[in-house]
Amino acid sequence: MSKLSKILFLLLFPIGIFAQKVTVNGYVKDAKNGETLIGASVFVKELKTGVSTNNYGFYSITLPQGNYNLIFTSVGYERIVKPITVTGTNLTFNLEMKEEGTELSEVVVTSKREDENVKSLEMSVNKVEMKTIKKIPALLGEVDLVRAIQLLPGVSTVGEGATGFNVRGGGVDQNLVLLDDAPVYNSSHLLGFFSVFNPDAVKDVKLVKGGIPAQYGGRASSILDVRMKEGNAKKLEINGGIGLIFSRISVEAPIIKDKASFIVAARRSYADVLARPFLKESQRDNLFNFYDLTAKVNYNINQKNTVFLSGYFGRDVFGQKFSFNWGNSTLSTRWNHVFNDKLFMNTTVFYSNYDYLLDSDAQNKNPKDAFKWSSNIVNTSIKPDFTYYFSPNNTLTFGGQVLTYSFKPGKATVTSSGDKSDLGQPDKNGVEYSAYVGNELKVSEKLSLQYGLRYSKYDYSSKDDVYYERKSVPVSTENPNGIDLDVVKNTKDATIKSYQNFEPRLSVKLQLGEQSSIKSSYNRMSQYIHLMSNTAAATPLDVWTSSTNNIKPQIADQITLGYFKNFGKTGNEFEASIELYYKELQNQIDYADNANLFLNATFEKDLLFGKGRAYGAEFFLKKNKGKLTGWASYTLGRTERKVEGLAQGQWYLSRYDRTHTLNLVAQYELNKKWSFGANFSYVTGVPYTLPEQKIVYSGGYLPIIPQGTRGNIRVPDYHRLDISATKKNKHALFGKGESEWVFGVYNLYNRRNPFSVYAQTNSENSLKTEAVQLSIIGSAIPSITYNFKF
Amino acid sequence: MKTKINLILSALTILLLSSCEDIVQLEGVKADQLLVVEAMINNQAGEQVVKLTKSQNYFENAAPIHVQNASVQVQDNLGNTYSFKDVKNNGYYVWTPQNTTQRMGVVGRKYTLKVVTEGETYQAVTELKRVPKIDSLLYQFGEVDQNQQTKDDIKEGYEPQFYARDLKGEGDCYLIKSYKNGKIMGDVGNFQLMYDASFSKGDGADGFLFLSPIRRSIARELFQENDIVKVELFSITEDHFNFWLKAQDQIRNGGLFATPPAYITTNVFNVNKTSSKKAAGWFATVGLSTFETKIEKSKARTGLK
Repeated sequence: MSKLSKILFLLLFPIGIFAQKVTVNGYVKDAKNGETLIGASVFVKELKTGVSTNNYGFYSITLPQGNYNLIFTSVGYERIVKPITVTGTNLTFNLEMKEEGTELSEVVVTSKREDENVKSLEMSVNKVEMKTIKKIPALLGEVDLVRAIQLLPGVSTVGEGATGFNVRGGGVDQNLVLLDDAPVYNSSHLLGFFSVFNPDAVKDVKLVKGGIPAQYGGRASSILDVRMKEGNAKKLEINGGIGLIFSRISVEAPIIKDKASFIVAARRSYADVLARPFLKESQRDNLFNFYDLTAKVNYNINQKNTVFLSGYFGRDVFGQKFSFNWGNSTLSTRWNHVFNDKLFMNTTVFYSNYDYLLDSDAQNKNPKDAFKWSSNIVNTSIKPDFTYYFSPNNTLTFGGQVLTYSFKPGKATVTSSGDKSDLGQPDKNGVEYSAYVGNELKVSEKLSLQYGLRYSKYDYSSKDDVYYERKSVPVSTENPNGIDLDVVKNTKDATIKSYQNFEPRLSVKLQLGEQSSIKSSYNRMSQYIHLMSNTAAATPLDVWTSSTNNIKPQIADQITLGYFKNFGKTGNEFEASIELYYKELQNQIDYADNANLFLNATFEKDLLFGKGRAYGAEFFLKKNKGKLTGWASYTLGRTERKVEGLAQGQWYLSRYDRTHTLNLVAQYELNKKWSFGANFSYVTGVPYTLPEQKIVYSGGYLPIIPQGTRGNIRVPDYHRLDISATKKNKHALFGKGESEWVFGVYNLYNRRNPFSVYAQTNSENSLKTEAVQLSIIGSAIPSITYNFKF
Repeated sequence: MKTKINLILSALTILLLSSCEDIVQLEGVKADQLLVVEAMINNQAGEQVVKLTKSQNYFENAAPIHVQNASVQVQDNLGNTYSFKDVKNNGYYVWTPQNTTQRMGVVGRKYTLKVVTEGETYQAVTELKRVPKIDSLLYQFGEVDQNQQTKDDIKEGYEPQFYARDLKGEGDCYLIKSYKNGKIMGDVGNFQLMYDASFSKGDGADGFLFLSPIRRSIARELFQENDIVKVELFSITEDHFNFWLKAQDQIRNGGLFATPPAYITTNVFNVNKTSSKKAAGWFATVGLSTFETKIEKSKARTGLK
């Protein structure tokens, strides 16, 4: 029997083969608050084999009859050895683990299993615990998940304050940001300064950049999987903080002890409230605020069934009379079901919405002369995922998803002296069907495999009675890019175009002794939605659009190769890795000169299509234990695009190309009272384009550049040092609980880091032109935050 | 529309903490010089001008170079030829009418410009478009608005609005210039542009009364009693409108939400297409409507805003 047919045979007849064996399963939780522990290790001493708990804290391990010692470990928790006797019947074994009671509250930086870096099949994956993120010095003291992610290898942004992040040369729209399985379309508040995730409500964050398993799909470059806390199942817990920008509070408590619990967390910025008394009436209209509310309930019905309901609602609001507001909302329900001792299911049903509204007359004072503009993207989905635990060495995952998209790319109403007119893009719909199967197999002590296949199909339809078909025409002033659109009659809601893709996934691990391994992976990802953004940084106004008959799905192929090693006194004190990646992207969008992407029904005329490639090396060294913890990451990378009509059809540097990215993160625990944090970043400046000539016209200067020029200069390099100090107090305000002060300075040495360089006419002398360097943060920014918990 | 978006986004940027801008020294990129044409031949009686200069390196701050000794001629589709002469040797080529009533520009006619300089021949073709009448210019007394520039401590004044209705039929494009006591307000980067009665193509405002923000766009500053307010409404071709849009986008293109610099089109081409010598700028013929009034307290209105 060949290896492949053996595998197929195993897949088809699993029960028969393992019939004489017995399964032990259960949930692993934190003894203090009942939160399930993700990625805790369950190791069978006698068999030298083990498994990890899944995203819901569930494990299942199949063993021959006999006596065993199960060793439960999770970093930061006391190790538990449990002797068990496996006889004829399956065994359910739930466990609560206590936090380690070390002298100092040791900072834990690592993933949950100590040797995960080397032993797990995963590569190109970074897990950061909220505990660690909370210690990273943050802008204005606001703990920020997305900005912490940006300190990891292979992750960059186009600049300070830019929305989103770029992973290994992918666009900001190529990251699937999941909050309890529901996609979040704009992960930022106040452009990119603060992320939408309330740190008090987040339990676990995982960034997957490569070797992406088959259960994930829908985006080309990465998955940012954010899991919310379940809420304390033991007792009432209140967390809160008062900072310079936000105040936040969260309440969590059991509803039925150890069975059901909830968490509600809210934040609001209050710069507007503080500023109000100092502003003139006319200025008050420009006030800005943002808020979010996160909530989750879970109910552990019985050993076999657990349900979760989680939701997020956040909004940025600018102005009152002239109002502009935007935000995400998500709602997801999940049902964990244990069919039998080996088969685990999670079904998620979710709703996600991102929308914005712009209204020139929000208070409805002058309805005869007004302008209203709205846009949104809405998702609803059902997604069953199954895991079948054949044996500790063989796990099968399979499942599927139906995901519907409703796009309102932009509708506006203009009213002038009572005359009304509507404009914008017609609504569009999409349905994405997918199914996958994946298998993780430990072939031998040395070799492990994870392989899988994902199939996806996308149907696009329009709510309009016409659609457009791109065609090539001679270049003219009307069609400067040589592209025009044919208008084609359409039956509303009928499928205009279907796409399908097979996405193979493969990861291989070769263990080189206890302390090191080599891993390699290949994955293909397809993506049926696109963010139309032609600006230096993405804006909240940018429109999400469907793949259409003209816009083909984005496809990414990535191969990676990495060497992983743990070392140090205990064997796992340091984690190190070197990874090489090469990624090819198809159907990438760039924009013709003067592209008009807003409220323009014929925007497809302004798009240019091409391909992309990104390659690089990532070096990562992390210290997990001791008073001093932290990491150093260095990425050497290149990101290029090749698009007909731009840069004479040659490869050019994309606007998020960064040659060198260095990040140092250090956290030092001095004593029970004081701890310190510092991070340093050095990044090569982004490529930028400047005009070459100027002409005098109508009393001023106009900048002139040949058509389709990209990246003729680079913005100067970026570097920054931040520091913070945390002082823990014994008691919070009312003599109860705990509290802490966090002092920080962002951009300690006061550097004016350039975001961009652009050309402009001098504001005083219209006959003088100059280059201007824009720094988003032009000074050191001190901060102070008070956090409490009781 | 784009203007509005830029406005919102720049307002957001201002909110951002401690952003700042520094002037930096940069070496420009070497490129071939272009012949630059600037002309707005109107449908009124009197002299008409075609201005010729050369392009410069963007970061070079010398005075522009005037093109002298060029031959400049305009011909209309009826076969009339108009010769332009650089009388003062300053690159201003002027056509002088033979009498006070002779008009060069007529609505509906097509015009072809021909420039011969340094052995190359350049040509531009355009049309003179229809222009609506400005019906009235009204004003209201009130407090200063945030869109208006304030000088010193002027907090109150008269805000003028001009009223005109777009001509029926899609595709009329306009440019608006306004003056306070004879001095132009605004500059090349922010002269108001219009497509039908609105900001841009596809806004669906054909035949409308000019939209409120456009009517009010002339109030860049507040006026006081006895100030003279003057509005000029120019009809331009759609191509010229697009040229202006692109030009203004490029002039204002900076900050967090800058788009990649784009080529600004021209309607002036070298007759010899293979020549490396190229041109820039725009040869335009325009219809012009003006309205001028003196601010008087007794004539101020209310309820206009």
